[in-house]
Amino acid sequence: MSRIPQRFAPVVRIEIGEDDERALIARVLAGDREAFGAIVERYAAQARRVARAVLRDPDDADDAAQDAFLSAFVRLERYDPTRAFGPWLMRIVANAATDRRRRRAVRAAEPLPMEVVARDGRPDREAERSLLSGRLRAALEELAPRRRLTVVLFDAEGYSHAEIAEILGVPEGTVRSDVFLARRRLRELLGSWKEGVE
Amino acid sequence: MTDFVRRLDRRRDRELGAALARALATHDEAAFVARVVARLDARRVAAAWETLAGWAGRGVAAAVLVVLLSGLAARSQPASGPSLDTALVGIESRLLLEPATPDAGLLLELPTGP
Repeated sequence: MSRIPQRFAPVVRIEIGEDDERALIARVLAGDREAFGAIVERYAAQARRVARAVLRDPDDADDAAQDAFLSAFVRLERYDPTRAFGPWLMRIVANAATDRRRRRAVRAAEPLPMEVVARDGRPDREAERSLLSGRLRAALEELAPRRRLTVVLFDAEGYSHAEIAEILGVPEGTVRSDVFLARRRLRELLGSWKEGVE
Repeated sequence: MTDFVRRLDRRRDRELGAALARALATHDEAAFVARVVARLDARRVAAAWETLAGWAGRGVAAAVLVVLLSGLAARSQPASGPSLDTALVGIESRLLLEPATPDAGLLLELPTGP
């Protein structure tokens, strides 16, 4: 794959103690509103990114993520506390986003930004980042929805193949295959873009 | 080739992951969290009103039933002595006919029971 600039900071996935999380969930079940807020705060960024992977429009993605949190609250009694909470929640997020996508008409793709050059002729770094992000989002749109979700859950959010299989309700082998094929396609799309820019 | 692919796929591509996270980045998490919690609160209030409305309906029905049953019970009981109204009319008559100074004994004639 064409090398992506190192200046992008790696995603730091905050590992919360499982005991802390179980205690929070128990408090939510007991009606503790603040505990629910803490759970939302913990997973908000991840849920919004996953929803955005499915729904290109950020507002739609946020609506889907909100629906997912409320749905998770209603179903919390059915959650098995012996299993990790993240995959359980992300399954609800993925389903909520997918449902919303099916209901909505396909929106016209936003025009891709061309190379942006600062007034002094030097490339604007922030603009370059923005350009790459826009190109990545467009490239993600080229992928089938499930492959898009898979590569985001694996490489961006750090879930394992087994966890993603649980989230998407597919065999683990399918997840491995999806990750491989998604990465290959992204490489092709971004590689052709890089050749065009350089 | 298959084994090689399998080994590669186990490792997370951190560069790609960082780029994807940046491409999909969201902002203003605090506002998002507040909106979610507010929606939960609104849902709880709506659910509480629904419960109250359900109980109100049942409460009205119960109150009507109590009134009906009380009325039936009152009608079925025989008269046990002069009613309060009858006694008061008697006292008023005596006050009009007798001297101005009221007799405290009149008050003692008031029936004590129904």
